[in-house]
Amino acid sequence: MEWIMKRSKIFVTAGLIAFSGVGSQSSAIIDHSPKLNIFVNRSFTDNKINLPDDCSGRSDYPHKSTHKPGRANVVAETVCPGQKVSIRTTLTRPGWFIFTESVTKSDSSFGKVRISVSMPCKWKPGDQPIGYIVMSVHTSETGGSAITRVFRQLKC
Amino acid sequence: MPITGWDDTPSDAIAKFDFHNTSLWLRALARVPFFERFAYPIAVKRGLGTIWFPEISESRFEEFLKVGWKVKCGYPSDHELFLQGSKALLTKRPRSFRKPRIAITRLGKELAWTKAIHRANGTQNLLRLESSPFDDFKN
Repeated sequence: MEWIMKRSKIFVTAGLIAFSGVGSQSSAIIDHSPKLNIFVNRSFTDNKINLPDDCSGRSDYPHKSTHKPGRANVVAETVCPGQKVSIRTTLTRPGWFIFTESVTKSDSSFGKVRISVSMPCKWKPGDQPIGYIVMSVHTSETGGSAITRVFRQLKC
Repeated sequence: MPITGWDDTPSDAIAKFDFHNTSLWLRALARVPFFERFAYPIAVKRGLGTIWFPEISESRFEEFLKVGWKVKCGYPSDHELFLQGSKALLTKRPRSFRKPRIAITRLGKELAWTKAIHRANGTQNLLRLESSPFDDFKN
């Protein structure tokens, strides 16, 4: 019985604290701090240990190739000055079941690596534009990595 | 006949929609298979669609401006590319990449994949705040 009384007291106290605004006082103090900066700093200082600020990866939009007409082309790159970097990019044209087509290329270099992936066009006049997906995995020698993805519909 | 915002985007242009800041019913419509296509002309009319044309383009910008598109020249900024997941900073603590669950609509797929990319790169907080390390270069 005593135990039940003790438990109920704890619940009542907790309920009172929640409703009386004691907790909200502490959150009000936090509200005055620059929220955005806290999030920005935390996410980037935590994640980017020992990585220079300009280590980045990027997948460009797929487009109709001007150099090789009749092909869909995409360029992707990884940049990390002073380090060996690598990239693996896949260009996919989704389709039903086994009809998904994709081309994967990878490369590595020092400081910056740029890769171009292409596949033949399939679109015919009168058809809906076709969706192309580009997905890249960017890595650096020191263990940094990132994934990038882009989708675009093309008449190609 | 092409539907504005759904399948009328020229091949050399890049189109993006901001369904975040619109009414609930329009967002809901954009998540209904097949009927999603009718949400896009409304979004364009409401000024939620942005279209980027390359500097040399055969398309007529005026026609797009007339129907409500925000027309820009060149390429989306690094800030926009970061938020959509096509540009990222390398992280030492990547999380395993998990393919998003089944999403049927265009908007649903886009949101799910963007979230999955940011989760893997550890930048979910920035996505939530619509902020990026490239904020200074916002358009």
